[in-house]
Amino acid sequence: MANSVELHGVGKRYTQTHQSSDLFYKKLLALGRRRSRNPLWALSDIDLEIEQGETIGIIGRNGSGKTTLLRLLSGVSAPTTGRVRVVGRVAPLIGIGVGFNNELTGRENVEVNGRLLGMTPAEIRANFDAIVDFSEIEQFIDTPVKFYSSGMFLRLAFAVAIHTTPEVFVLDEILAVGDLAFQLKCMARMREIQASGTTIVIVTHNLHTLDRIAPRAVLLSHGKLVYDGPTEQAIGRMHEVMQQETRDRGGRDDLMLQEGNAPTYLGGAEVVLDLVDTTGVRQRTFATGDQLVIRMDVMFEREVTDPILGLMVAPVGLGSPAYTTFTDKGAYRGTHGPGRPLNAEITLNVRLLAGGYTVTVAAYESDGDVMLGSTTPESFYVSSVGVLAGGFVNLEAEIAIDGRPVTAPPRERLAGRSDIANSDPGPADPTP
Amino acid sequence: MTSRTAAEREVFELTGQRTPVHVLLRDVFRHRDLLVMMARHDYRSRYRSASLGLMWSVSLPLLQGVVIAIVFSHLVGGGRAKAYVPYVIVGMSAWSFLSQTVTSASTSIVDSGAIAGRIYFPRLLLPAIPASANVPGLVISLLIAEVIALVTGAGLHLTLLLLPAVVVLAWILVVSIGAVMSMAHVYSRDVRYVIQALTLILFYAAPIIYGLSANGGRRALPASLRDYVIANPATGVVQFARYALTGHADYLGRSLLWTGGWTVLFLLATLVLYSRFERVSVDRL
Repeated sequence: MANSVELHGVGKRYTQTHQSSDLFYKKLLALGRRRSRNPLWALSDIDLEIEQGETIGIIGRNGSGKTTLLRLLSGVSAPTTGRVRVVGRVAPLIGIGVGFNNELTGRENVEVNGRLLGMTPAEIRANFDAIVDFSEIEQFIDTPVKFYSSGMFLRLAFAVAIHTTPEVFVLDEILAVGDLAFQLKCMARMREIQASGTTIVIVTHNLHTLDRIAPRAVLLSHGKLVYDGPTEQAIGRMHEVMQQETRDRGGRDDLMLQEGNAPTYLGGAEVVLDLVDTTGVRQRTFATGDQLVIRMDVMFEREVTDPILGLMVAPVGLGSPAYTTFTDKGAYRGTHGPGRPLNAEITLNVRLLAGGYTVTVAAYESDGDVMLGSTTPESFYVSSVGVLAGGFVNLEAEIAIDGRPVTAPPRERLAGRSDIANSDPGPADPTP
Repeated sequence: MTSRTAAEREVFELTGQRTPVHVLLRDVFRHRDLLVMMARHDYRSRYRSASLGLMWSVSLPLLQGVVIAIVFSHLVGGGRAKAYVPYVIVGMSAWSFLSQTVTSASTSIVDSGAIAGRIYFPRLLLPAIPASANVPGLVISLLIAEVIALVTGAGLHLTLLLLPAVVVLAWILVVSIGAVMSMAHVYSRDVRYVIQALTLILFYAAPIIYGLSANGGRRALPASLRDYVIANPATGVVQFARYALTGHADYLGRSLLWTGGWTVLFLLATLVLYSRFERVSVDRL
């Protein structure tokens, strides 16, 4: 297959000017001196090739250069170094409804917006009914959009965007707005577009939808392409990068949660953890049904007898934990102190469904009321490819209709998945 | 979905180099229908919530012309000639198109930053949108000025057939000035105020309320200032409009030459600026 998008040695530099230098007299004063401009490389040395018909995700933290890359791909901005080559028409869906004019009717906005997104006037006419139909606002199509509800506005904007027929689709966040029914419609339409051989580039924060849509993802960090490969692996790498950056900053991760009503924290122990799979290999991505092993080390600063260990797993971005547990009071007898660390291994059955999760472990005094120390929430990612389920926990439903089972036993369906998730970067091989 | 063969596909390549001029012009040409559409919508959306609609843009310069004509002919003194009223109104109609359009065109790229930062289309369309949307207003106010001229006894002239040429000249002039200014405005937000100051000065430096030579009871400009006024880019348009509507305009040839020169200069500057900055100016929006 021919390449649809090629980037070679692409770099993008922004020059930051100091706020004050916008004033005229400051500019005059600065004329004699060397300009104190601050070059910032939003992207550097990006090499990327995307085949026609591929769907690829671009992930990374805020400020990693995702948006800049999108702007280059959609032709809005030119690279400072290197070459961007895109074959075929590009339709950027960056910011839904940006081209809409409130004074104009829905019909007029569809015309302009469709044209801006690269449809020819003939294509707009041909697709007009489909667009209106999709947006479900037939009776208001000749009303100025300023009278639309925000839902109607978004649905119409979406309908236009999703009916463009480009060779390359560039999306900022996965297309899903409105109520559930409309979201499903959006997803169905996305699959149609995918099936028709359109190249799709998606920038997203919504990691657990991404691996259902895009088999391949690239990870950007500080403007550099640090990983290019299977989406699950890329997401795992992203969690590692995030964790590393958090550690480097010496703070807690901004994505992570703080525990709720934690016991009094008095200090006295340093806790570190490591996430590994059953073979002892460090891992950030696990498949539903895998076993996850937490290796936990507690270094005590003072003497503690019969410590209690605790554990919390929480979905990223949700206010409450998915699971917490503690060792029983008195179940472990032992005295620790400086020079006498405690090593523990916690094995978890990953019954979680696709998404980002954090795990936090902590050590407590023997009564459990005083916390000696805890780790920052460490993140890991769960993929559930092949699991017909959504939500957080795999409850392994078995459905029978008229006594006839209509779901395969969940265990069987999961077989083999862990091999893929735990393999080294490279194309996933479904044969055992 | 339509399937296209590789030969039909457009390919875009972006490097740090400037956009070649032929690519720039080809892109504009390909998007000409978008210009028409956006201008039409700009025009409609502007007057949609005003009950008098287009009449506002026509009647304001007319009103201004009438007021000026009364003030200058009766209060300040001088000519009481009937010819002065249509003289000023023709001048005001042409001038208000030029000044209003340049003012809104010069902020057009920054004003549409939300779209321009996300979707690529030739940036040259942006200053051309207000210029095109204001054309109907210009045509109608010139026609009303013609009616007023007829009523005041100016007589019908065959030169009226030149009216389309007047409109085309005015359009090209404001598009080229607007294009240069709107790109400059991206890099320096002072441009908007410079334009305001310049339109104020250029109004008095154009033969709108006075004549280039004494004629029909009008006050004439001192000869020492005449060359400067003729060099004003607006003068050619104002005099050309006058020539088309009333069959006579002083120093028409020289003022047209100047206006033409300015237009060519601004068009060249536009090509240079846009080939250099079109794809990087968005970084400053």
